[in-house]
Amino acid sequence: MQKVFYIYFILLFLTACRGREVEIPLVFEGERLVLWGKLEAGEPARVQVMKTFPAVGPVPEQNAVNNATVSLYKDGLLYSLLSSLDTNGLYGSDSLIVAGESYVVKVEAPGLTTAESEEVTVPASLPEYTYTRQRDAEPERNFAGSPYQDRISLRFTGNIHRTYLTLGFLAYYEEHNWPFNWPAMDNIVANEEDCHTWSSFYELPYGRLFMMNGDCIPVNAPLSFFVVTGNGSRLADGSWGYERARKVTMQLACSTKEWFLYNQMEYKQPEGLDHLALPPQKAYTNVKNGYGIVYGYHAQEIELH
Amino acid sequence: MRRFLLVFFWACSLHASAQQFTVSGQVRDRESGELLPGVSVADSISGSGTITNTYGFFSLTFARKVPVLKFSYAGYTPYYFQPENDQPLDIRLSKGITLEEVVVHARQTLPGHPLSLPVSEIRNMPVLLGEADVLKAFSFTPGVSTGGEGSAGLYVRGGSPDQNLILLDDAPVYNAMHLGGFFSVFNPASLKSAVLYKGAFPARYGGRLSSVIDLTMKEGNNRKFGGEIGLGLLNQSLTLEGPLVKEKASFIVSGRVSTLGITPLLTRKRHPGAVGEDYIYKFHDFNAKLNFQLSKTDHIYLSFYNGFDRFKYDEWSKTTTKEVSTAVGNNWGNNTGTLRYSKMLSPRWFSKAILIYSDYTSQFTNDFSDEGEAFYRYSDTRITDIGGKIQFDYFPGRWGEMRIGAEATRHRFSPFNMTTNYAAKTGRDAPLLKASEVSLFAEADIRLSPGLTVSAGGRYTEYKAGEAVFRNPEPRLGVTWSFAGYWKFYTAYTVMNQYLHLLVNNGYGFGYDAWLPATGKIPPSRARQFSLGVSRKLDRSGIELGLEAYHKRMTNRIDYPDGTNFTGMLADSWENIVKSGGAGRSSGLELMAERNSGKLRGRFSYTLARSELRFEEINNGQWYPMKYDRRHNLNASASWTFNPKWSVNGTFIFQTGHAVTLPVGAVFYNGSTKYIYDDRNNGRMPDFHKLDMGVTRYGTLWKKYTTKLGFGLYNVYNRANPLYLDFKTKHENGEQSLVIQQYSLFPVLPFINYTVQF
Repeated sequence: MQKVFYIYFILLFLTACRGREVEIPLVFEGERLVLWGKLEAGEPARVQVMKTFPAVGPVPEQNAVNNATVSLYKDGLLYSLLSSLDTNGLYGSDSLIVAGESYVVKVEAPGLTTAESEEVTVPASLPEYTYTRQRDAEPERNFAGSPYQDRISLRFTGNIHRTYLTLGFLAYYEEHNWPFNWPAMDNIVANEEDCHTWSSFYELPYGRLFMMNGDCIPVNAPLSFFVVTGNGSRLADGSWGYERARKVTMQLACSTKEWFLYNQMEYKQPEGLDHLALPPQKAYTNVKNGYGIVYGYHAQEIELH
Repeated sequence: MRRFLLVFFWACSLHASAQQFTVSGQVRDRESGELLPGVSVADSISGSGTITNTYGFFSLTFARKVPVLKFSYAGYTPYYFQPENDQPLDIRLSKGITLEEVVVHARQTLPGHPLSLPVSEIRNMPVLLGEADVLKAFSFTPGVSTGGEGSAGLYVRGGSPDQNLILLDDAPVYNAMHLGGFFSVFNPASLKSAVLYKGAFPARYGGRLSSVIDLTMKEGNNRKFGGEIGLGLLNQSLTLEGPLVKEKASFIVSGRVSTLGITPLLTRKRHPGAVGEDYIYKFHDFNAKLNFQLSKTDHIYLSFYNGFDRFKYDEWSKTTTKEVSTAVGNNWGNNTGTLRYSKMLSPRWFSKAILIYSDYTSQFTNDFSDEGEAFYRYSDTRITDIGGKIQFDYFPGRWGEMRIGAEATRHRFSPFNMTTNYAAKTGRDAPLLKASEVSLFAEADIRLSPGLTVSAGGRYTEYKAGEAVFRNPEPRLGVTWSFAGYWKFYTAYTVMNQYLHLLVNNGYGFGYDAWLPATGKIPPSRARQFSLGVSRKLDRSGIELGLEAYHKRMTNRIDYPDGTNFTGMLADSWENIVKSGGAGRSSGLELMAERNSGKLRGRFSYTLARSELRFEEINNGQWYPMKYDRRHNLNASASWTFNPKWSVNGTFIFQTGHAVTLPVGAVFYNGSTKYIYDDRNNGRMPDFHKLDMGVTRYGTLWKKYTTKLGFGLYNVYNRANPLYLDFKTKHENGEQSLVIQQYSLFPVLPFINYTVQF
């Protein structure tokens, strides 16, 4: 009898969850501008301009919009006209972004409805904090098979109410750098679903960044992260061992709320089997007549000692 | 309310004083002694009469001599009897030798009549791999649909599954699903009756917006010991019943265990160098009932239910030196208990008093182990009810019946608790919440003329949760007019309030369900429903046709903002995050044809419906379709009995695809395609349709025991029904294109099951 069940359930599992392509008519609302804009304090403005295409069918070879007029307004006045930097729709300003100031990005392109961002205020400063670095801390998890992990603990000493923080770590080795960060098991923010998220873009050198809602962070409570500082590799003498990181840096940034909400929404977009239970989320955007996100950013990079 | 009670008692006294003849009693199964609810008791000449209540009790009053009464019930030989005195009757019906006469004449005398499915019919309807299921059987009736492939969650007239009041021996069951919704927790072998109300709710029911499913467990054979063994692909069952004191007291115990407990056999052995994934799923349910007939007029019942499901997904890797595993799990289960005492106070008065206990828990587990070190984090949610109910049924005369009673429930909610051995207990437990619900109800079915019946009633509830107090009257009114012997028009208007909200955190078909009380910030939901119908009986063919239209409006519905995962937030203030004040509207036209006699029996139903929701903060405040809004829903079930040994049965279902949010565009950025979603539920899944066929062979084992062998095919024509859609990028000939991939669950599958009754 057991064999019969065995064969039946093998059959059941093998045949279940069949996938096949289907044609479902989707309503395409027409091409619309998509803006990815980063307004970082002390840096030139960077805006990538793209356009939407139908969600079914061939992906157009050219999605970037390279013939757009990209204007940056500060306090309601034209601050800078951004110039095209490449053929991927990237535009940049000559002027630098000023911390604490408010900006609007407006994009006009032939054949497309003009899109304009909501007003974005670049964070004026970073919150005050202290940190400790515990070298070769007892690992909580087996990250990359390395027994060498440092525990970095941050304590925010000032008011971080309504602050949205972004965090990344980078370990430096002889031939390459390795972005890594993983919240410790007792990291309060990481354990609260609605208090954190991860950046949806993987951008070097810090890779995918950990993002936190400041309202969830208790003042003076430690927030701990693990960083791998031993890279398993062949050493100079030919033997296998662990190359130790020569230095570790941290990027801590304040961003606007929109950037946190955008990433939170993107992180929750269902993929694959998720579609079985999780409804897709309405695209979060602060761009009128278009999509994408324009956000303010104020970053600091320090070496951890 | 006080005025209503005065009128009620005045009417009682007025009619009790008239010179009339009353006949009352109980109706039982001859072989088992089980009391039979829903038996038609009628004047054999005029056809007018009543039906027995849940306790098999009836009372009829006649102006002159008591006529010959006809007792008829589905599957039983009709019985004729003329009472000669006013002593309580103890009528015993024999199971029908032929299957011709199954008329349940009186069941349609009330407006928007409840739908009572004979358990024998439910048990012959193969709904998932040959397994019978009471909730799935109801989904073959108009106005009722299910979520998707295999799902037993019922969506009644635009309501959601949490808006169904499911009562098992009067105790509410908060999660009626096994196997992630594939079939219900109710073991058909332990059930005696199943009744569904989806409109024209009697005032004795309240607390949910969309439907009442009233299930009664068997009492057990009080004449001889017996039982049943069931062997199926999804579960195995055993039922035992028998007399404790012959003809006075009996018991029944029934249990099921899942066959899927066998899944560990299919998982990989954990030898060094291996990695793998294990899925472990198992469930059990257990029913027990004792009943004692203290005297001809007094009866006491004690019933109990326990059921639990466990699901675990484990990812692991093993080397020669260590083993690492990460597992997530979801467990859930119900316990209910009911103590009931019923008494025939007089030939015209029947009373019952009930004590109820119900408990539901849902748990999420997360285990992590590495080199012998184990970490865990378990969170759970629970609701516990303790309550009581008292009801008096009065049968004043030929002109109608009355019921009056009171009900009180104390709810205790534990929305979020966490246990962990993490270095710091990072979650916060939510405080316990308590709420109380006290209701008074009165209802009367008044026959103004032989063809015209008015059902009027009211329910008044005082609900208290913390500082918040809600007092809600709920009027219920219905009118039925029958004429020419075959035609019947009926209409009804009802108001229902729901004082509990369900938050569902879905994940792969399994969920973390938290029941929470209505509060000052999140007030009770309310539904007002109007229905109008007509039915026609075709006596010669035994076919009955019905057409009913309804319109329902709901207020104070809740939902969550896009992307909310509330397990963590329950520890804080879920009231601040949940979106309340939602409106719902649902309307439809239901058509049904059924034949309950002859060799060919079946039911055909078609529903044309629309159900929508609106929240200020969702979908820009615009109306959007409910997920399981299905424009067309067609169901057919039929069985053909060739001879006493062989029968064939089949079910067919067609449903418009459910609403789904589809992308309105895409954008390519940072090496990948991102889909852009806008309006909620702006598209439709492909249509759902499926045919199941089965053959049943009745026989005997060792010439002593009755057997039933069932076999057949699930999804006969191998329809790939949609389970979910995925959006993918396809790379072909150096070009990329976006495609929609549809995933389906079950192809054509054979099934077999075997039952032995002893």
